This record gives sequence, structure tokens and C-alpha cells, in this order.
Amino acid sequence: MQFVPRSARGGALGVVLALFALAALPASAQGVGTLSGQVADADLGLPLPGVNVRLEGTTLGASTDVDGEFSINAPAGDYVAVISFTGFTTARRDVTIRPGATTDLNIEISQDPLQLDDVVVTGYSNRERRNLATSISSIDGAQLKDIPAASVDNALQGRSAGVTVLRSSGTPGGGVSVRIRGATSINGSNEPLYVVDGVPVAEGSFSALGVGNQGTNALSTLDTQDIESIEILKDAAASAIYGTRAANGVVLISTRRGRAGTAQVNLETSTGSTTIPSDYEILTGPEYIAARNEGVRNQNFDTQLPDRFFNGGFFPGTREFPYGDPADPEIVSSNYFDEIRQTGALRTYRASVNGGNEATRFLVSGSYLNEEGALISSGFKRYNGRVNVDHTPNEQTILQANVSYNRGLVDRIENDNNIFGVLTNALVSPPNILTRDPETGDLTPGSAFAFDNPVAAAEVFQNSVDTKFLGNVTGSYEFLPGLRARLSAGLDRLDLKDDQYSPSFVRQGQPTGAAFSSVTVNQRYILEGTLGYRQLFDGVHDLSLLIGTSAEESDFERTFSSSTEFATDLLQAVSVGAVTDGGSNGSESSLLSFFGNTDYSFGSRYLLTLNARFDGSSRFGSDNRFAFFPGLALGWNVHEESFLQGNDFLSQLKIRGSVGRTGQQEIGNFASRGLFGLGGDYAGLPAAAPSQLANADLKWETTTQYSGGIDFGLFRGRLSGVIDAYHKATDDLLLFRPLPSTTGFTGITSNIGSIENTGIEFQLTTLNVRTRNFSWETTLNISRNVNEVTALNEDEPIDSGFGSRIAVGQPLGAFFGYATDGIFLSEDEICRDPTGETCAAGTAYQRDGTAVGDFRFQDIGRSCTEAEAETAACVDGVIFEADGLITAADRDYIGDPNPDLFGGFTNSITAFGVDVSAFLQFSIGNDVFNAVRQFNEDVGGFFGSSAAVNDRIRFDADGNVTNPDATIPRATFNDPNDNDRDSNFFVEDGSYVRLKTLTVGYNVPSRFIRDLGGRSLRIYALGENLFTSTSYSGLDPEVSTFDRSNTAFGTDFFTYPQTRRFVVGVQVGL
Amino acid sequence: MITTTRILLVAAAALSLSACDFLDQEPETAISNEAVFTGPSGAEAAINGAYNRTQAPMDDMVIFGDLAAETADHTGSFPSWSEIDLHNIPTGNPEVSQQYTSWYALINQANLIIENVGSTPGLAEARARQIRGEALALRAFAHHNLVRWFGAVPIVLNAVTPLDSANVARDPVDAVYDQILADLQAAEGLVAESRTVGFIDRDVVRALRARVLLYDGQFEAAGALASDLAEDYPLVDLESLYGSLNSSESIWELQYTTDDSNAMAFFGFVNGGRNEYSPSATAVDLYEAGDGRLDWAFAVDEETVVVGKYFRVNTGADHHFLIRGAEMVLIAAEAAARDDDYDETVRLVNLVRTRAGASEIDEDSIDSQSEALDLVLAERARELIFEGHRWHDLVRTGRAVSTLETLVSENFTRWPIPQRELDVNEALQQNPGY
Repeated sequence: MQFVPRSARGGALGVVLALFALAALPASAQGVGTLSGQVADADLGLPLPGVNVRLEGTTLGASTDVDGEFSINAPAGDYVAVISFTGFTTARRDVTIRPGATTDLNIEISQDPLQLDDVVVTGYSNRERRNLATSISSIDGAQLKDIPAASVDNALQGRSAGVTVLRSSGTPGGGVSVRIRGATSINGSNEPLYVVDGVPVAEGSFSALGVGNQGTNALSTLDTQDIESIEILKDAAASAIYGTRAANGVVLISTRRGRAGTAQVNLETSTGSTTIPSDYEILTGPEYIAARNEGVRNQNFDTQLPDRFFNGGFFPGTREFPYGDPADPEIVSSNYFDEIRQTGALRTYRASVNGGNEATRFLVSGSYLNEEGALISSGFKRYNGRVNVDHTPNEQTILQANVSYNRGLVDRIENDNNIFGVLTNALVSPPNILTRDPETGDLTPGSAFAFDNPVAAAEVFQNSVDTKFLGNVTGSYEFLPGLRARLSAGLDRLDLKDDQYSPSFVRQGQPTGAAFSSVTVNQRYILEGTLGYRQLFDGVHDLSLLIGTSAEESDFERTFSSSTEFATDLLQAVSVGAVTDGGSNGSESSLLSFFGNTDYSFGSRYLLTLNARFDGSSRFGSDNRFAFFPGLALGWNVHEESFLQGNDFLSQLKIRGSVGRTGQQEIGNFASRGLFGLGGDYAGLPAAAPSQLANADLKWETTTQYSGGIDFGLFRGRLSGVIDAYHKATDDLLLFRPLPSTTGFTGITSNIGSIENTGIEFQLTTLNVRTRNFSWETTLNISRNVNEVTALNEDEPIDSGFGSRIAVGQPLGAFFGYATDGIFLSEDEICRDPTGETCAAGTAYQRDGTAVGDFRFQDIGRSCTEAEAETAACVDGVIFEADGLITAADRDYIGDPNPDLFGGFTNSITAFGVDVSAFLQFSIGNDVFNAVRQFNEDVGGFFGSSAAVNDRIRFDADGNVTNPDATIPRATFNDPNDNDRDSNFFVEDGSYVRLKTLTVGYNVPSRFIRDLGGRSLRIYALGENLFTSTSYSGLDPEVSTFDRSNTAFGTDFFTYPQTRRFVVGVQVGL
Repeated sequence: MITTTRILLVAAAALSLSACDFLDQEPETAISNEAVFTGPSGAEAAINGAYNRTQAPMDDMVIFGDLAAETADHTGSFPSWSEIDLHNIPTGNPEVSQQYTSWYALINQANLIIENVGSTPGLAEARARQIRGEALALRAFAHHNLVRWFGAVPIVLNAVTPLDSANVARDPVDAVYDQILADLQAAEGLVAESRTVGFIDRDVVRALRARVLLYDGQFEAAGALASDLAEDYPLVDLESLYGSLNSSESIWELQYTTDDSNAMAFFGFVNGGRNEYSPSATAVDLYEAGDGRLDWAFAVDEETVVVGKYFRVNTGADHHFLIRGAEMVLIAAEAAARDDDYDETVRLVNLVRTRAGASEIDEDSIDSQSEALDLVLAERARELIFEGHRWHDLVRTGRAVSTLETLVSENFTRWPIPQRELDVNEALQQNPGY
């Protein structure tokens, strides 16, 4: 046992230095011998590459090469060789190594589909899967291979039960929302905590540019090919170790590490294309003009308005043709959607080297990715570099350093809810305008109304350069057998530079050009120490204990400036124009934590896990600084009981149950404080104004989760699965309690609401066929989560997004609006009594201008009278009974964007060296609010360019409906019946099944490449989003115009659709 | 081993001891409430903050004053603007709510200043009095804007309302006017004799009082004050008034700069803006050919007629003309008409007309009070167009329903009390008709 040198005294840093000093101590010299041999698959007899062979109790080991062979040099002596490989049962053999001699060890290992020996990272420690009592899903990095340009959050889609992933749009480098066992928060975050090699990392968008609504994604700069494995902590017993940040689960990401042995070089390149597969039909120019003329005529404006309205007074045309004669041969027809789409090129290059010896191992990787968007002017580029080093100078000491430097360049275009959007204008602009002057080729200015030319709108330059430095240094030392202290320091730094330039010829910005530039720095430092102990007592009591503390600080800084009056659009830097604005803002938060973990298993039969964390956060009110989060899990490996031993049918049966509490501290940095905001100014003088009321009691949101499940394996693991059920109750939700404005404030942030999630998860893996030349494996996961808001401030509903409403008894995101059951086809169906009192049964007064051809909205409710207001029948001010009037009281819940069922289905087939993997991902029962239609089927109005409006109600000369089966209301100039109000007409079933990826690969047999000096050669082709089955009428059902909104997801509003990709690539191992 | 344990213990202790400090973070761009009135610079920042708060609702105040009066049309895509344009305002209209909330936020800030500025350490007493006077005048301005839109509104005179007694009821219109006039009276004795045109001094308070007296029907008093002020702020040529900023005709002009901009030109213009509203056809028809105001009230941008008074679309640094000499002349003209002195009415109206190069009105053409009032109101419409006066003029003179095609009921001359206010404050009653 070595002691720490005296010079190293001095606290935390000293310990790290001491560990490095220990690393330099030489190993004692003895005679050296060699252990070598081959590892093969016991069932198939095939050699296994990549198997880890290690001498227990030493740092000595090697991994097998492509022919399953390995060789280890070691001091002479008796050892236990441990042969482990993911998905195989770990084997142990006694071996004796003699000086100067070679000992042979040829061994066959058996596949273990249940992967019970695999080591699962559980946060601050790790545990074999067989000894886990908590609910943790693992995703092997191999599943992410080949997939181009995927961010890690996107890569989780369909891979794990209970994890919903919604990609907001097809924006390259754009946002992804991940929900682990449902959404728990309204104003906080619903995203899980991401921890990369022990460092909690920032996720989400840090860009200062509000491009439509779509943000950037801080996780998109990580290269998924660097990932060795992902663990998802789903139940609260597992995640409680992360305390106030774990209410939405925790995603632990471990990156690849170097292996001892000859350096291995991996090279990869791929190329491909990306396109938008769906189409959108708009009217021709004449059709559009005709519809608008019809709109004027249907309201009799053509005959009733005074002369001054025509011939340029308001309408450009005559009484007969207010918008022009559709037969005029001069009228052009544009197809903007085709003009803004392109086939984007995809390219990736990647290189990595790993190797080292028993003492020091390294991995160095670098990659470059270039993705052109499927819409013009959008794209994503990424540069990645990573160095991971492991140094184990002796049996007691482990030193690790991980450094990655990533740079992501995102070019976004305006879309979504932006009148200057590219896709927005491509779909809604009047189609009778050309984007380019046919003679000069210059971009045209768009229509006289607020629309911009969609092609010109794409000329707005919006670039975000996201540079991320992520690194940590860890040292650990084993003082006594099983007792290990570990100290780690980490940094996650994100530097983001946003640049925007709106040229003089676009509507956005200013007529002389406008530039905006900002620099954002977001960094987190973490210092963490743990002391862990693991020992097996009496051969049956497997106990591990861990205590730790961590201190973490986050700070955010931004400076920005903007300018205008550019002499030319060719020079676009802020400094070229006249600076109009500049400023800065910043914010800090800190977190101090103490935590502990106990794992105990009795003979691998009875399992117990106890986790606890104290978190103190600067964000909490002064009266509520520290929070405590405990978790307990119990498990029983029934198959380990003697009465089930030697049973070939039931290979595994584990029953688990857990309870725990976790928190949510994404409540804003200073939400608890009474503040006077500075930073405003008046006439150039500094100005201060009260900005926030104090709430000293403000605290975290708390989630209590009960979870239970079984893991089972049948027929020696040929069929295996996991079934889990859970109930999560979240309380003290942070809500803005509204106050009368006469107080000077509109509300105060308080802990008020509650949300519950209840769900069930099912995962099944089958090995259908497994022979020497052919194997077929299937994995299916299906989940159901039911989300319900159970309490709000005074249980008052809160409106969100376009048609979304947060209300007690409803899931987050529920759509709210009117219900229509059809279109009025005759005057008899319309009630003209504005009091509603004399309306015939089944009719109701809608609007003064309601006419045949308009939607009939259903009369289902009325406002409560004052006397009724306090009765139980009055819900949110409404009693559900007809009153002959269509009012706001007739609105009800008309859709739910949360799926009833979601999951993934993977089939992997390998035959004669060719592997095929098809991954279907599905979402069933989710509704989409198609707000595109709300605008674009407004026939006769300014919008209303969708070709769908050709199926509108039309009239003959006598005013009779000629096509009663039409689905779209009559054309109107200004929609007097408000046909385009939020209604069930715009809510569609967004269920889909999608062939997310299909990969075909071929591993060239090593005998062909060995002579050429190679180790491996793989050629593959991949398609992403090749096929989508859905009844949704919009561009894509997987959509969220409000990006990662907690409460207004599943709304489609001119959102960049998901793209289709084809990629071919080659991987070379040297 | 023992040494190592000690080191770890020391490290743990070091972490724990610093825990309290470690968890204390301070915001960068905000300070605690208590820290504001602790010195002169804080008090100055607070009164500047009150002007800053005046800026927030002014764009809407001005635009909706014309949109509702059919001198401007909604040409953009905001449904909430269309509702105001067509007087079909649901109680949940966000712009209406915004007006209500913003003016009360200003009142709250003014009250904070009124209550605290006198005890600010190190602040000279004379300056403290001035600041207090400016805050009183701003409180009056805010209450007046509220009473103009909503009719009866709660009078709020305290800065800090205990949250359990925040439910205040509406006060009658008369009581609101009494309070506004009392505040202005008090302010007049406190404010500085003269400050630059962006800030409140004695003349601004007097001009505000002239306006409020006119609304309150105290025409004689209004006319006397306005005549005085009209002499001190003589009309300047239109180029100086609109083409440059802070002309000598301006009594109070709300200041904006490139980095503290408004959205007036953005909402008006096509290129660089979103042309959310435009002059109506009837607005152009108000003017005779050769009236110089045509060139300043309107502009043409990308073949669209847009509002021309706010044209700095590159910077958003147009000012709001809150009170200027011409308004004083026209208040005096209206007072003369109410006093049946039609010659004086015509003389004053002609003062405004000749400045614009419009034809002079013949004195003999007016021989009844209603004709004289028609004349003044029509001239106010022309002179003060796109400065937010028209709607309130029509409402206060009872002419809104008869003049406006889209206004069907006298009920809708009062905006609805915002639904969110009714929801959180049981003491509030809705206006009739909503």
C-alpha cells in the first residue's frame, strides 16, 4: 500500500495530484509470460472479435481481433482469466502463466440474450444487470451506427419503452423533445437530464435568433458514433440519485474508450441525399383569382359596395371581377413549394484510432459532417474531435481524461408562425406571382399584401455556430480492497455565435438591410467526489455503498448588437451598418449536493437499492433552500431460487418494485426574488422598473413515482422481455398565479399545480433463427402513457399555442375549440334570432353573416348564470346544455396530441455476411392540430391557396348549392361566420407507422482484406424515413410548430417537415 | 491512509463551509426592491423607468385610436386588431388586456415613486419634489387613458397592495376624472418649471389638464389654459414638426432612440414592416387637394398607401407626439364654440389650416354651435390624425355610433374589461353589451 506524498496536502486539487503521482509508480519487475488463444461462439463455432479478456485483480487484458484471437503478456503467476463480451455469459478460467512461455487458452462462450452479466451504469456507480432492482433501459452504441446526422436525443426514438421522442421539425440541427414516462411540468422542463461521462450537459436551444419557432439543439453537436452505450434511468428509485434534476428521468451517455493492444484505426465515409418526400398542392393562379372573386360575390359585396371600392379603390378589378378575370391569359401560376425544395447533399468523414497498453489506453476520433437541407438555404455542418485517455498505473489507481471539442454550424430559415417565413409563404402566398422576373431573373417583391416572395425570404442569412467543449478529468484510488475514492472535475462550455442579416429586398428587417449578431456563452463547472465500497461477504452478501458530494455552477452570458443602413447587401457584418442596438445579459445558478447509494443483493436473489440526494439550489426561495430526494427499489430474482434451477423453459424471472421522489429545478434562476429590472432606458438615461414579485417560499416541483415490473426470459433467453407499470404524481408545479393588473403585476410565480402520468411499457426480444449462416432477431417495444393535469391555480384552464388548453382532467396539450358536424345546405338550417330564443330545435344562432355554405357549429353549452356559478354543474363557467346560441361556451376538448400507444419494432437479419436491419417506429392515436389548413383553406380570403379549396361549396345563379358533398365551406371575402375558428375540422388523426431506418450492410470476410493490410471492411446503404403510413393530410404528422413546447405540441403551422435520406457508406478497419 | 482521509475530510469541510456563499447568486440586470430608493441614481432610474413604462402601451394607444375610428384600416393578419377595427371585441382580446395591464403597471410604478422618493437618502429635496410631481402627472395620464378606453375603472393610489386585498372595484367615471384633476393640480405645484421636451414640466402638466378638462366638459377652464399654452408653443411649419424631432411646437414628445425603439413604422410600412394597418380611403378623403398634411400623414411604400407620420422604419426611433401646440389651439377653438363665439372658433381653426396650406374657412359659413363643433372636430381629425385622438373625440362628443359604419351600439364605445381581470377579481363588473 502506497501513501500519498506529504506535498500533496491541500484539499481537493491535492487529491487529484496525488492520484497522478501514484500513477507514476513503477510496477514491480518479475519474469514475464504470455497468455494467448482464441475465443469463439459456443453455439455457432464462429470466432468472436472484440471480446474482452482480462486477468482478474490486475489491469492486464486484451480484446480479441477479427479472428477471435488475443494475446496478453503478464508476470508469471496464477490468475483468473475473465472473458466477457456484451450479450454473452461471462466466463472465468484459472490460468497459470510461466516465465518466458506461452500458455494457450482457447475458449467458447455462450450467448446470453438476457445480457445479465452486462454492466449497467447507474449514475455514480455501476451494477450487473442481474443485480438491478431499478428500471433502467440500455441502448447499445452499435444500434446507433450508420445513422447519419442524428443527435443523441433523436437517436433515442423508438429504441426504448416508455421514451417518447418528438422531433419538432425537419430543420437540420433542430430541436427534439424527449419524454421519459410522460411530461411532468408546465413551465419547467420536461426534458431528461443528460449526463455524458459523468458531466451533466446543457440541452436545448441557446440561440438568440427566433427563427420562426425552431431552435437549435445543444445536443446535436455530439457525435453519436462516439457513444459506447446509453442508459436511461426511468424509475425514481434509480434517478433519485440525481435529485432535483431527475423528475424527467436521466440519460447517461458513456463514450467509447480505448482498448489495450495494437492500435486500431477506423475510417468511414458516407454520402447521401436528403429530400422532402411529401407534396403540397396549391391552386393555380386563375383558380386562386376565381376563388377570391367568388368570395366577394358570395357576400354580395360586388353589388352592394359603392363604386369607389372598385378599380383600385379597394379591389384592383371591376365589379364583375374584383380581383381580375381568371380567364386573363396574363395570369401566371407558381409552384412555390417546388421552388424552395431541393435535394440536399449529405457527406460524412470519420476517423478514429484507439489502442494502448495495459497501463495507458486512448481513443482519438474526429469527424466531419455536412448536411444540406431539403429546403433551400438550410443546412447543418459539424466538426467533432475527441480524446479519451485511461491510465491505470497500478491495481489501485484509475485516471481518466475525456475531452471533446465540437462545432456545429446551423443555417436556419424562417418558417412556422412567421409572416416572412419561407415555407410559410411557399404555401400561403397568392400563387399568381412569379418569384423571379422572367426577363431579368431578379427576385420579385412578392404580393402587395404582407406576403414575401418565398424564394427571397430564404435569402435572410441566419447562422448559428455552436462550439461545445466538454471534458472531465477523473481520478480514483482504491484504498482497501473494494473501497475506492473518486474525484472528478468537469466542464461543459458552449460558445454560440448567432448572425443574422436581412437583405434590403426582403420584407423582414429593414429596407436598407438589417444585421443582428450575438455571442452567447453557457458554461457549467462541476467538482465531484465520491467514496464507494463494494464487497462480497460470505459469498452471498453483495453490498455496495457510495457517498458523494458535488458542487456545480452554471453561468450564462450574452452580448448582442444590431445595425441597419447598409450601403450594400454584399457586406453583412453588424459593424458595416449603423449600429442601432446593443446590450448584454447574464445569469448564474449554483447547485450543491450530497448523495448516497446502497445496493445490496443476497445471493443474486434478493435485491435492494437505496438512493438519496440532498440538493441545495440558488434558484430556490430563501425559505426553501435544500431539498431531499429518496428512492427505494426491491427486486427478487425468482429464477435464482432452487425450485426453478435447471429449468430450460424459464431462464429468467425478476420481479421489481420501487418508489422514489425526484425534483425539477428548471424554474428560472431568480424566480423567487422581488426584483426591479434595470437595463431599460428612456431618452438615453437608465431606467428601472419593478419586474417581479417576491416569493420566498418558491421551490422545486416534486415528482413521486411508484414503479413495478418483471423481467423475463424463456427458452434459454430466445424470448425475453420486460413489462413495467408506473404512476408518477407531480406536485408543486410552478405556475404563474394571475393577479389583478391593478396591483401593477399580472401575477406571481407560485408552486400550485399537479400532473399525473400513469403508464405501462412492454418490451420483447426474440431470437427467431440463429444458425451459422443465418440469424434473425426481432425487438418490439410498445408503451402507453396517460397524462392528466390534476390541479391548476383555482383549477382555471390556461390557453397555450393556437388551439391548446391546459385544464384539469385533460392531458397536457389537449386541443380545445368548437365542433362542427357539417355545412349548412339550406336557409332553413340557419337560425336568425340573435337571442337564440326562437331557434328551431337543433338550430342555433351563430353569427349575423352566417349563410348557406358555412360551417354549422354545434350548440353544446351555455355560460353559467351568477346563481349557477358555484354549483357543480358549472365547469369553467359553462353548463353543457344547448341555448340556441353559438358562443365561447360551445367549445370543448376536440383532440389530444399525446399518442395512445407508441414504440418501435426492429428486425435484424444476418445472412452470409450481409446484414439487414429494418426499424419501424410508430405512434398511434395522437392528434395533430393542422393550423396550416386553418389559414390555407380560408377560401376567398387573403390566404386560402390550398388546392383542397377546389372542393368548396358552390352555388348556381339562383343561390342553390350545386355540390352538397363538398367538404370545404363557401368562399367568402372576410369569413363572416368565422369558419376558420379553432374547431375539430382542423384536428386530424396523426397516427403513423414509419420505416425510420432500413440498413443493408456487408462485412467483407477478413480473408479477402487481411492480405491488403486491412482488419475489416464494411459497405452499407441506409434509408431514413423511407416510408410513412398515415392518414394525416399535412406534410408530416411528426410535427411541433412550437418546437419543444411543454403545452402546445402537435400543432402543424408551416413547419419544416421531416426529411427522407439515402446514404451509402464504407467503413474500413486497419 | 490516515493522511489521505484527512485530506478528504478537509476537502469535504471546505465544500460544506462555503455552501451558504456558494448558493447565493445575484442577477446581473435587476436589483432587489429594497435597493432602489437608496440613493439619487436609484430614484432617477425609477422616474425614467416610469417614462419607459409610458412607452410600452403608447403604440397601441395611438394606432387603435385611429383603427377604431375608421381613419385607419386593419390590413395585416392579427385577429385581435381586426376585432378592434370592427368593434367586435371579445372580452379576451389580448390588445385590450395589454392596454389595461400596461397603464396599471405605470400607475404602480408612479405610486412607488410617490411613496418612496421623499425618503431617498442623499436626494436633494427640491429634486425629490419634482420627481414626485412627474410621477403624479404620469399617474393622471395613465388613469385618463384607462377611463377613455374603458369608462369606469379602479382608481389605484397605493404602490403595494397586499395580495389578499387586491380585488378592487371600478370607480365611477366622475370620480376618476376628479382624481386625475387632483393629481394634475398637485403635480403642477411640484414639477420643474421647465425640462426638455421628453419630460414632464409645468407646461406639460397644464396641457394635460387642458385636455382632461375638455373631456370632463369644463370647457371654459380648458379653453383658458389651452389659449395660454398655444401662445407659448406656436405652430411651426410641417417639415419642422414631422420631419425632425422635438420641434418647438411639441409640449410633450415621448422619446425613442434606435436602441429604445417603437414599432410604429414597423406596423405601418410594407418594406421593413408588416403593414398591419393602413390609412383608410375615408382618411385620405378628409383632405382637400393642396393640404400640406396629405404629404405628412400619408406615404406610399411599395404601391401601398401607408401611415406617413412614423416613417423611421430603419430605426424605429419615431417619437410619439403626446401633446403639441395645435391640440391646444383646437381645444381653445372647441371651447370658443361651446361658448358660442364662432368667429373665434373659425379664427383658431384657420390658424391650423393656414399652417398646412389648406384653404381658409369663411367666418360667415358657421352660424350654429353644431356647425362650429363639426368644424372643430373635422379639423381635429385632419390635424391630429394617426396621433390617436379620433376615436376618443367621437366617443366624448357622442358621435361615434352615428359616424362609424362598423359601430352598431353605444355599448361598444367602451371597451370590455379584460376577461382575465374579471376572472381574478370578483369585485369587477363587465361593461354592458359584452
